Amino acid sequence: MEQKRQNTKFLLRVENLRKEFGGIVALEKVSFSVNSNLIKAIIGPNGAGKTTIFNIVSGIYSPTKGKVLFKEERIDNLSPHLIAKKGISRTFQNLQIFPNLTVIENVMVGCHPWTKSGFLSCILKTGKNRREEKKIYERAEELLKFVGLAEKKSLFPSSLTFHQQRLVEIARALATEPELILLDEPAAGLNARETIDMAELIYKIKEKGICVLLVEHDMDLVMDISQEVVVLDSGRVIAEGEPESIQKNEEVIAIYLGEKEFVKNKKS
Amino acid sequence: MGTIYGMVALGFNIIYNATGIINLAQGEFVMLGGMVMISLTSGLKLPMPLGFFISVGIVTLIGVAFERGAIHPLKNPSIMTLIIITVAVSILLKGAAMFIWGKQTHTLPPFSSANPILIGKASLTPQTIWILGIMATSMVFLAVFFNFTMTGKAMRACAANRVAASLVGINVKLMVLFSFALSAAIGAVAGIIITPVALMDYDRGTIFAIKGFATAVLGGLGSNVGAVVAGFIIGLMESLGAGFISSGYKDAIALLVLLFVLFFKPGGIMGGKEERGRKI
Amino acid sequence: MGKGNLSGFLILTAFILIAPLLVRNPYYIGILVFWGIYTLITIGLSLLIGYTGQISLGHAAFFGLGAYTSGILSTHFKLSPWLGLIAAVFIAAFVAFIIGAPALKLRGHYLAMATLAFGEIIYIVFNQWISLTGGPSGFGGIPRFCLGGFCLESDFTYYYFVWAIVLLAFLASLNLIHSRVGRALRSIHGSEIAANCMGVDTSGYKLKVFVLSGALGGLAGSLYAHFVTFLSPGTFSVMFSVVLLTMVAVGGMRNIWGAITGTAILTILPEYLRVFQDYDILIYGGVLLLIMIFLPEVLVMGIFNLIKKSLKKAR
Repeated sequence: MEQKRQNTKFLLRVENLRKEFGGIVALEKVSFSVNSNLIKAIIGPNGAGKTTIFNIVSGIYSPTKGKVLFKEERIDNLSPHLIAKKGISRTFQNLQIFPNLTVIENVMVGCHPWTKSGFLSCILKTGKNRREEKKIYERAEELLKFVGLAEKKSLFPSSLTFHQQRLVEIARALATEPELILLDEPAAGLNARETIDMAELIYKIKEKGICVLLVEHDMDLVMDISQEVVVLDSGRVIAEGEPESIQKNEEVIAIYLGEKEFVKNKKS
Repeated sequence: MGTIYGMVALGFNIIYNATGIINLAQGEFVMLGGMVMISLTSGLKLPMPLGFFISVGIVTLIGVAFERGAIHPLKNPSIMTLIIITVAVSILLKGAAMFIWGKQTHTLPPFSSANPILIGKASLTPQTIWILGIMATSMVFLAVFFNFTMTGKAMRACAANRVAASLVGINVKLMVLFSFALSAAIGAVAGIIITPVALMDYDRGTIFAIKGFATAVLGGLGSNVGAVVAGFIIGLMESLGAGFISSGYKDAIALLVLLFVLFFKPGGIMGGKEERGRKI
Repeated sequence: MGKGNLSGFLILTAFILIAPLLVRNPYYIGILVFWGIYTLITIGLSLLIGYTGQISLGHAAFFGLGAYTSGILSTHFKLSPWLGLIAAVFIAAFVAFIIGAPALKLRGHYLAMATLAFGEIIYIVFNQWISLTGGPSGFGGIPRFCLGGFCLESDFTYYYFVWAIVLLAFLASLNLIHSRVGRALRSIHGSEIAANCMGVDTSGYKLKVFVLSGALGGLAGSLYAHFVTFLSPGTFSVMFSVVLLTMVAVGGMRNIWGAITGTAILTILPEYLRVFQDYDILIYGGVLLLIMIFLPEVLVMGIFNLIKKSLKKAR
């Protein structure tokens, strides 16, 4: 198992990221890497900078310093839509669903990166265009079935529950045919039952061969399904490793219990 | 002229600072100030100072009506809606003005004598002195208001953070109303003092609005100091420009400046909000 | 594009075909021609505002650019009006490109102001460049479109000419909206950030739609010039940009059918309200205001939907 790890190149590598907003340093010397085909979680207290990392990786922000490499290619200087084309997709903590499109249309937009019809072929409704439309529609239907929302396809997101809208976002993100999907707090606002369903879904996604990087607060969910964990606090990486070792890590425990001072004193 | 743009810019800033709205009808306040004053002085033959204050009062009331009627009832409007509403109000006011005063241009006699005074080698008309004087007074008044009175500080609080302001007990709705009133007042003052020099007709509002906005943006939207400085800059550029190109094009100068600033440095000369390294 | 849209389109076409025959007074055929010309612009504007969610307060400028380009080329330079038409479209599109590229990076109010300033600048140029445009007094003598020996002289023939173009443009837009590109455009309006992250090149699309709407405006301008044969800057003022905006708003900004209906209402109705000639500014402002406060985005469509709902209930 270890040998296999060393031979494969990392899917995503984040090197020495620094991000400043005006006078505030949100991220400092953040480095970690993600192998393909696993579930990795980024955890940490509120304000630690987790979503900022996502925003940099998906291309919304550019880092003040540092690099992001996807399949050994630099992507931190690319705009989000190009990054999507490269194979990275995401969902949003505060739900960025398209309220003016139906559920299935939302997912169909996700098919944009790998489809080609431009203005002219869309206007003329060429054969190629029609075939592509069919493919897009069928793919979107498939994905809605995958997340369990097939019957809701013609509705508008406003008629759906929060949990369901989350699922639509996930289906939409999957539609881009990503190799890496960033899930930003997928379990936020969900009850226990829904969280279990979400965990199952995330696991199914990984089973399809897609690498999952998630930001999450729900520790049970994280420890349950992730194979690796990165712990962030105040913009710095505090620990990285497998869930069991993270759980035993004193510094990590201290951060969550607010007993940083206690640990420091103990060490000295 | 630059001072007028500065004042209009101040009007924009006030509303923007309190509400985040950019009031495209600002120019109409200027126009109305001038027009009402004309009616009061020439029509009703009221003495100047009285006419001045009453005109400002009337236009202020119009500003209040605007806020109450068009802004207040909105629930969570989109930017698009706001823009169109301010445009609509501006047109309404313009139409009303045309209806009341007709399409001709009007003027006011200068506040004091028309004979230029010689200061050193330059000659200034007394009207210019009036303009600068009133402008300076208004500036002082505003500075005092915003920095030293409770209401003024409350308005600044709203500008900084609306939610926090309301949590601290500031009546945000009232502040919004106030900002419109104040903005209208300043517009009116500007309109009154410029009419003797530049004439006034029902259509003038738009140009004042555009140039005022250009000034506000150049100075950094929200920055009152910037507005004044920018006003002088644009006024200067216009006069110089009118010398070089035909005077008809001089209106375009302010507009080109606006486009230039918007495209290259939206923060204006005072910096404004910094770009956070966002790519979209 | 959906059965509803297709049948709607066919009904529209049928209506357009027979409309002039229903109209008694030939003066009104001219009004119908203007309806067509303006609809061309509002289709483009509707795509811009309703679908990509951008705003333009200066679209009259593209209309004017098209009109003057076509007019000047065919009068001063004695080129065929057809060449004038092509040039009009290209010049309008080109200017839209130049202005759009930097302007569309702006948001909300800034974009509105930038387009307003642009519209105003073009208007000033029309007024000031007397040697080219004849200044405020305008210029006339613009020739008609001719093919072979047959010239489009009468309102009647021009009507069919214009509406053929408009219907084509409308059909193209309907196809566009219900396609991959259309969804992409609507997604920009829905959430620009999410659209970007789903692979939609939002800046690219915004610019393309802006250029498209500029081109349509230019096309309309050329059709206008060779119809009225006389141009003056007053027609292309900022006020007209606002009128165009009102047409889109009245018809319903969310739906491209709104372009046709809104334009119809604001072109045909004023004819019946001739008596209010001088109050038109007031009325436009008032109407716009009321719509925005009480029924943003969905006036005609809103009423339409209400009717649909009550019909459903009645069954």
